[in-house]
Amino acid sequence: MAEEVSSQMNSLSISETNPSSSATISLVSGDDIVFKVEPTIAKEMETVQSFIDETDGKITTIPLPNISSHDLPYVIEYCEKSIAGKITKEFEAEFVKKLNNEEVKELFLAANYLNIKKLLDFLSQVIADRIANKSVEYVRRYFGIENDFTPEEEAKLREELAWTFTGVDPDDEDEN
Amino acid sequence: MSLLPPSHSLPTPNAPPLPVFLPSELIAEVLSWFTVKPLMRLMCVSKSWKSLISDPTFVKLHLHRSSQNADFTFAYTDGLYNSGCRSVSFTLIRPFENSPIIINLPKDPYHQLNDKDIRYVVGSCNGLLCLLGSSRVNAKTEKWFRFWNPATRTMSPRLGSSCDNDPGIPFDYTFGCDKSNNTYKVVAIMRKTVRIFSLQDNVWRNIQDPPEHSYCLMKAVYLRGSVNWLIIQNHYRPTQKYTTTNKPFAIISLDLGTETHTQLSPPQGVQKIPIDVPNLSIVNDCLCFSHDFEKTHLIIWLMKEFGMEDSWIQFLKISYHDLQLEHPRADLFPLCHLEKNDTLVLTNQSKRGIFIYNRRDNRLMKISNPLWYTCANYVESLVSYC
Repeated sequence: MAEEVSSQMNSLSISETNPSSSATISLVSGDDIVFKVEPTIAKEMETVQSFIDETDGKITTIPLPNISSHDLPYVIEYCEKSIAGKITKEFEAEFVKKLNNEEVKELFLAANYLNIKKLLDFLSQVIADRIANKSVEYVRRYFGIENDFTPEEEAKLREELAWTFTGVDPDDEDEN
Repeated sequence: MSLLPPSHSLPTPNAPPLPVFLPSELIAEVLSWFTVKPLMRLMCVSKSWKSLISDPTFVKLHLHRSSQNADFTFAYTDGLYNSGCRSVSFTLIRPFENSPIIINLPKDPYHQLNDKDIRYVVGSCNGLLCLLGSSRVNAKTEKWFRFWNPATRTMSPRLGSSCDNDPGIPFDYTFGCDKSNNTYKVVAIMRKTVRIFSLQDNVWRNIQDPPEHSYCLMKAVYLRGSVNWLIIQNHYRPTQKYTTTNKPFAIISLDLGTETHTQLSPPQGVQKIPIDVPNLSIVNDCLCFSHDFEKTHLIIWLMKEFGMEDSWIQFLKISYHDLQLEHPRADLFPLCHLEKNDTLVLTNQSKRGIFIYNRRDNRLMKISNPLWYTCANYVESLVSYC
């Protein structure tokens, strides 16, 4: 899965069937919903902007196959705030309150795909904050990581690192 | 025409959503924001996570994030040099809203180093603390270092042991990173020579061609791969008045990579004669030269571009009156500057006081903390001494 995602990151392509003379940029989500945004918004998305630049601005409809119509409005909202210089702690807190763990990860992938550094850094911190005090088992489930230690290896490591196991939150299965 | 790859995991209506998987480079991105303790715990997740968290590239990324934290943490040992052994304490200064908040971090039993014969924190670099220990052996004092990462709880054995007649106070030593050889070094500035202890080969070496008069006036400071200290030129006599023409002071800058030194001039704009000895410190990642001005003000200069003598700028001029100092002494110098709320943290060695001075509203907070005899600016990291 990881390879598939990263290979797609470099293969954003454009639809040439819909040349547009208007200044707005059309972003097409993976489920074919069109979002019209101002060019300044597109500038925040480095991946989108580099395509616009490469085609000298002739192409203004950009398909974003990896991003769903559920996630794209969040990305646009964040970029709008960012341009307006209104990214405050309060805004960020409200912004993530609406998102469950899976949504945060999806949005994180979207930010990476679109190359929006600020959003990427912000969401990495959100994920880090959400799992910082979680158990090893919880983190494995959260990231879908298979435990490849033998029980003996793991027991030994846990013993060596026993001091790091204080203050761990009890697992909460209803997070999502 | 469509060149689009098939979309990967967009949920279809009615189907249970698939969990979202993050590629490993993005997992590293997330983990780089963690503090050290939970990161160490997450080494138990899998073999690949264990090797990721110990990987030098990741350790560097994590250190980079950790260094960008707006908080300042100071590590120091309590008590005086000759008293028995001690623990290392940490105080955090956080630039909170308008005024900073000061948090004495809870005493951790692990930070009690009684069994390690530790006397002092010599310095701190990239999350490693260099500790000085000593004991009396046959009327001689044996000294050594231990290199300690309190966040990962790793401590070196005694290293760099020496048994000589030097007084061995922490002011003699400076700890820093030799970036070109990817190792850490301790510099000992003696009257006639300068010695360097390298962690890489575990030996002391005298530097070739030491500065003519290397007597160090105050504690030397580490900045970006170099150790810098202030000297008085040979022609100075205590009775002689300082003038700008006789240039009594110079800064020796020792490159830890090449182990060679250059000499830098203090700011040229110092018009008046400093009554007391100036100080060198590090502020905003710049070499900082501060000195008394006519017993009324403290003047603080920053060298904006390290090594460029014409890049000195006068950063601040603070009146002792504003600092509410009754008997000003020029041993006052800045420890750090909290850019977020334009607050300066200053200390004076003689009174061992800490002053937190907010420039915006000219407000002062004084902390009488006798424990900060020596203190080092500490950043949590995964860096290991070996």
